[in-house]
Amino acid sequence: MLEVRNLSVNYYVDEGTVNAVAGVTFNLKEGEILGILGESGSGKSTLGFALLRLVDRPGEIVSGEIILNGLDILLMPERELRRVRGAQIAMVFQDPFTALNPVLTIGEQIMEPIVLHQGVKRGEARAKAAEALRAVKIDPARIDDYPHQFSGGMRQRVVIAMALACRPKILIADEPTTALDVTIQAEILALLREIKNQFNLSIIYITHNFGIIRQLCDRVVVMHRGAIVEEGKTHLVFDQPKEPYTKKLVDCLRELG
Amino acid sequence: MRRNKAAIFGLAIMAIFLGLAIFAPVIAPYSPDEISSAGASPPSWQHLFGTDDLGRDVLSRSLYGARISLSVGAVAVVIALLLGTLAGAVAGYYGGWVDGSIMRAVDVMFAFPSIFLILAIQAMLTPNIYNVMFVIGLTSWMGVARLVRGEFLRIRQLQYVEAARAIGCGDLRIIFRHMLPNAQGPIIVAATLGMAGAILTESALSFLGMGVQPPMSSWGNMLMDSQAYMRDAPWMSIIPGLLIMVTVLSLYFIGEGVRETLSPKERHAGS
Ligand SMILES: Nc1ncnc2c1ncn2[C@@H]1O[C@H](COP(=O)(O)OP(=O)(O)O)[C@@H](O)[C@H]1O
Ligand SMILES: [Mg+2]
Repeated sequence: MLEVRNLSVNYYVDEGTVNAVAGVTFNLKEGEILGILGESGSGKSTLGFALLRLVDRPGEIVSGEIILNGLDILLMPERELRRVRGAQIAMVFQDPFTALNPVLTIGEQIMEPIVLHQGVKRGEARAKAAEALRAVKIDPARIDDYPHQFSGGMRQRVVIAMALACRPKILIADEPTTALDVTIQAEILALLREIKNQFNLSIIYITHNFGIIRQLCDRVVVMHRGAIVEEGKTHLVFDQPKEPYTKKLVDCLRELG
Repeated sequence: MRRNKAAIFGLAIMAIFLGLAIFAPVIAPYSPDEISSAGASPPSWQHLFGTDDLGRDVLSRSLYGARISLSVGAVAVVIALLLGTLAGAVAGYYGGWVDGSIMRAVDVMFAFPSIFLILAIQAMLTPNIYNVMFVIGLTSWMGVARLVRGEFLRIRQLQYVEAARAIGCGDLRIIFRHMLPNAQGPIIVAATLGMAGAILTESALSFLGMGVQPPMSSWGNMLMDSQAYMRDAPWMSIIPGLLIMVTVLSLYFIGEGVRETLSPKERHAGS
């Protein structure tokens, strides 16, 4: 479905070069939820952004291939790349409080990718936006409300609706529940599972939380300092971690109960 | 709260002045160039604000002058806002060498005291009202550029900009649809303060004889005409001076009021 080979991303900062993603290779299979696990600073978000070529100054993708439908995202011209973003691969972000534009209604924001990619009339886009809201269990009557009228959990649902609006095949979710409290977190995870089946999605789920990976993901890759140190079926990695780093993460989780 | 009262007061004054300027032909008791008395005469029932050295009605000239002064201020500030917003947005959004060169140009423009720059340019052009508008606009956009650049640097860090890129938006769409509307508060503040500045600059220019040319009246050239009669006909200078002062203060009050109302909300939306 999506094949990543030897991907490397550097940040050029005053103190020198940070090799945030260091030669990462993995693939995402159709219909699976793949977890990317690693402690804070291990390069997970950078990897997620790099998959859509969203890495921005002072960062730069220095090598690798990201193959989607036989085409390398890293070699695409800008116009073609924009047709992938939001239409074939969509993203959900960590902080629902800043991921929505405060001056636009949620309807306008959900309609935006539809208008951009499908070139449909506003009325039709609005109907599709309402449908996306229904899919994330928000009353479509609230389509003209502004983000500040929603709670954090509801906003994250709006962000998910925006990501789903064009029916992408792949969803990248970067710690979408980290900013939310535990009950809301469980709701969002349940919602992700549900939309995955409903929309036939493949999901890359990024988190530092092994507990969530166990609940949600079929497979997991473990990242440490920009590199993948271990990869496999979630229960295998959890029951018999091979790498000392993974063992440490598992022990941590066990201690927490 | 107190600031807001001042802002509403300022807004009311500006609304009244605007109304007076628009309806000047209806309200003015005389035509602005009409010689309606023999030389300067003090305020009276015939001439509420007196007459100037040529015997023209100061009230009528002030009303027509409001049209000129306010429109010079408005057009100049619109030019400055367009230029400054564009320069600041491009600099803040693209960063790197684009930012470096734009901000260098801003620094250079700032390094010249703008009144000298304006005088130098004006000396080369015929000093008519359009040139005054353009020259003031072209020499006062730098503050807006710095402000908008700062806002863009801040907004650029927010996730909704990243989110817009992630759904496939291009640069222009991100700049104009997603970022600019979120920078509008400070831009409105800059507009009111900038208009006050432009009105002052027009007055200064006219006072130096390089601004709006007679017989057209502006508050600035009324003030200039009054120079020689400061002692004998003080109303000739007091009236336009007061009008300029009240207008500038009103605009400042409005700007400060907008700044005040915006800041808590901005902090809320921006973190
Ligand atoms: N914009 C940036 N500028 C400089 N360094 C960055 C930037 N973003 C991330 N990094 C660095 O890259 C590394 C990986 O960061 P990140 O991808 O955010 O990790 P994670 O999402 O796993 O917490 C860290 O060392 C971080 O300091
Ligand atoms: Mg992260």
